[in-house]
Amino acid sequence: MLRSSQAEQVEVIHWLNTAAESAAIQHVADKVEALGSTWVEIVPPDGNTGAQALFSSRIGGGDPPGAMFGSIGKQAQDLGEQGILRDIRSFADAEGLVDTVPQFALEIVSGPEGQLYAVPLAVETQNFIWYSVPVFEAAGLQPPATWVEFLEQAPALAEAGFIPIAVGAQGWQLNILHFSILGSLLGKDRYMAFYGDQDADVGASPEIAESFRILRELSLLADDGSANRGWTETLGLVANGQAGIFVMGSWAGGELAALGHEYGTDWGCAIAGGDTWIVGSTGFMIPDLGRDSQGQDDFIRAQLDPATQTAFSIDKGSIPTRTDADTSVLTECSQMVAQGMAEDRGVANASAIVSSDASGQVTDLIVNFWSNTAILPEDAAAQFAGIILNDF
Amino acid sequence: MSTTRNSGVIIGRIGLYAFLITAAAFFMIPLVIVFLTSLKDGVEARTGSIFDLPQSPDLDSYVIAWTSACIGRDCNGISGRFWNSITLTVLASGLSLLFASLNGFALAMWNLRRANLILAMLLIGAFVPYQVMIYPLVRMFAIGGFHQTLAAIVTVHVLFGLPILTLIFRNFYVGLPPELIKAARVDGAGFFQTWRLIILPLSLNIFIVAGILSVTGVWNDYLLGLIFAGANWQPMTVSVASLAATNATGVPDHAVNMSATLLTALPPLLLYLFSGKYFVRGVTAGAVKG
Amino acid sequence: MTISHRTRPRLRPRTVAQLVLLPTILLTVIGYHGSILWTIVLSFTPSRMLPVYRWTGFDMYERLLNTERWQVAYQNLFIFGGLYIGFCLLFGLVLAILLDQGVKGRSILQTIFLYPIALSFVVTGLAWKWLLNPTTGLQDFVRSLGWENFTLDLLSSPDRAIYTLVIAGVWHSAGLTMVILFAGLQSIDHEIWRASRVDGIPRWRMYLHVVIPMLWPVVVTCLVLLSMNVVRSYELIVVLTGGGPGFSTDVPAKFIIDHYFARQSVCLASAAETLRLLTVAAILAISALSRRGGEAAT
Repeated sequence: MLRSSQAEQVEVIHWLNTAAESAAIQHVADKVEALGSTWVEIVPPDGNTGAQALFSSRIGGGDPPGAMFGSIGKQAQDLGEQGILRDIRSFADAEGLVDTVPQFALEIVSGPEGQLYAVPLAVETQNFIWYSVPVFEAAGLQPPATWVEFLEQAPALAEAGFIPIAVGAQGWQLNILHFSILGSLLGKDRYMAFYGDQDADVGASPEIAESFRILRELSLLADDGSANRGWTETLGLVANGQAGIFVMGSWAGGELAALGHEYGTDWGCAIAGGDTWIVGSTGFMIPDLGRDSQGQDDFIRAQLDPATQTAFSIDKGSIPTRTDADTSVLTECSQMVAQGMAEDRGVANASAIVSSDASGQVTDLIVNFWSNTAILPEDAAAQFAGIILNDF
Repeated sequence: MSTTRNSGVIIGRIGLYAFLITAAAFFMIPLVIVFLTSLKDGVEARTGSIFDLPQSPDLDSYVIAWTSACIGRDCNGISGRFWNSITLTVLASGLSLLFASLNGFALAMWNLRRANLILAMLLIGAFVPYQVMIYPLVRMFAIGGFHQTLAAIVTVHVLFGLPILTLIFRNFYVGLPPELIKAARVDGAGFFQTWRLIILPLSLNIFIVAGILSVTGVWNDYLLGLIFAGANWQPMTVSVASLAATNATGVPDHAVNMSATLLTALPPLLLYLFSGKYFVRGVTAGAVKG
Repeated sequence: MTISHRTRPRLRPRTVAQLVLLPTILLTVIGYHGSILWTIVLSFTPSRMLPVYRWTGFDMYERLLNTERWQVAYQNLFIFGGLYIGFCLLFGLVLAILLDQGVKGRSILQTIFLYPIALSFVVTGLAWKWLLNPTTGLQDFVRSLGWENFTLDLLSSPDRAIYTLVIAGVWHSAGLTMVILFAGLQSIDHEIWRASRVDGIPRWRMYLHVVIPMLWPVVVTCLVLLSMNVVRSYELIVVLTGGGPGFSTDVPAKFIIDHYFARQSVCLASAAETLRLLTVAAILAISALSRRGGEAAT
């Protein structure tokens, strides 16, 4: 392939800026540069909100960036249909880049005729329980296997002087907590029937109300400092042995390792959804630049390079999307996920399946339910089911 | 009789000073806390009470924030965009003040028809949250062909500063005696000559009031800078907001984040401290007319 | 334009004054009024991330009015606004009157009361978030001094978190109110004090019945500046409470920005923005009318 003498650049918007995250994305940047293109990154403030503001104004201004980070899913399909994103299917097929990527990760970012609008870089598990080994030892307990079991243990943890469950009461964090509970109650098939097929029978089932009852009990266990607390600070409570458990995605494992805490002696992990592994696909949407871009092509190649994916996932705590990438070097928790994925236990997380608008409404419902004890679980459940079933 | 009255006065005085000193403490404490925390190291900042004195105060975190903290791949601290911020602020505040002063003069002293209507139209702008104007403005700049340039970001800041600044100048000029410009007009001076020779010399204090408000607004913005300034003119605040300070072992370093935030807050604060006296005078001169 | 007064034939200075206003008028009409109009148009469309121009009528308004979060945010505009403006005026007035009593160190005190306006709302929010954090802030400090039962837990309670915004907001802006009101006090004719002494009227009654009513025009200036902060308040809320607990401290600006960008519901955000602007316009119109009425009466 011919290369112009001047390196082409690719402009990348992402907000991977915690310790582990920024180490992870640098592997991709290194690979892009090794392929001969120049990596130009924009790290906007305010995470997703800042990035979305920048992204939509860049598109509106007729100057789209080369790639846009995110938990990819419905938005990519939506923008793809509006002609804003580039269909990379033929490019990826010609170079054999996505042959070993699992179907589910491709489907959630594909158009009706098989167009592919985004690059799946890594699989993130959303519903991990991160627990403090010393806390459970001090309380003389085993880490819980179910939510019911945890609720039985909570008084003992509190009595031993610990915060039973560390919670950062921000919308997206509570959202993760809720669908982790819901996933464990519904199981894989009914979870998909509810979110994916908008099955009204599942929407009316008692498990939905039960998920809110459990959430209510957890809200009573949270400490006073939980209001508007960021996830890294909340994770710190488990890392420093002040709290028993924290429910958060696989990236928390990357962060714990980056903070220098030892797996096994300081912390451990379990799946909060029982047998349901709720996964998201982290990656980049690829805008249509209206011209050929060597930089963008190199970016796609770098994202789907097996060794780069492995290096990224080691730092981020995720697993590669390419099943032929090496997973033996990943952390124990990630290997557990890789195993689960191989056994086909993964289901896509809610926010990849429903629209941003609907998942926003769910977030509002959940944060309000969390802080307002006057709302009955049954009422919240009915509203919640209504939002999901009426999404476009 | 007179002794009880005197002691009453003394008690009143003591109460007066006690209240003022308490109020001063209320205003000072947050700044002191933020400053103390910035002198602590990461572990101390995370574990101790915010009122503890730092065990080994040093300015390391300031140096790191300024020169070597990483934003993505770029590990040169926040200093790289300092001059961007200065240029932006000087241009945007300078133009805003110039326009606002001329506008205020025109609206206040020339008995123009519909002057109040123009002012009201302008003031509506003061109540629009600028975030919802981002997309339409982006479209306009793109059509005008100067999206993501220095001109775009300066225009945006001038646009958002004009309503309130114009009001401030106009309120000040309304209070000036109309004889001032009548005399000038008899001498045959035009609009700009009158403004430059008579009005400008009287406006120092009010320029300081408007200047501090304008500089604080422009300097502290990051969202507009991020979106309108393009890659070459990103302000320093964008670096601070997306800074992820981590120390050698990868531990997030809150002291560095704090230092970066404080360093950025410093220029408007210094400007205020050096000209605060004029600020009070300017308000005294200009705010009396509603 | 700068050379217009030198070129011949000379323009009349009043014409120049009108021309000087032209760029600002153009900027205002295109920038502000154009954006507002465009927002109103979008509120009647089904636009998600990018605008589409298809008429859907009042659907979005109907949805908005049935959204609990919007109801809370809208109420908070008045709760936060009322308390913030009220306390800024009250606190500012008390400080201004006290400083007007021939206090030593007045200019140092004024500097201290006023410096927060040179800080952004982001820094303001950050500082108060630390102070009001129940586990590491003021509550913990007072308890460590011996008052074991001291409770200052505002941030984690949905009913009280709004007061943290008021405290931080008043901290930021009370100094400005103080200076403006102080300026008003200074401009009052000192003769009235001599007259009051002759008549034996107590000082506090003079303030209550004579001086404070005379301050009205200055209070209007404060009201404009403060209500601007209320309507635009966004950063302070994001940093201090994030709109929570729940959405108890949400405000229209945050609701709008969340929906505009992160939630890609431009239509709902536009409907909310339209309602918010209508509210502002209504308040401005009422105050303009009452002011005109007041002037007519005097």
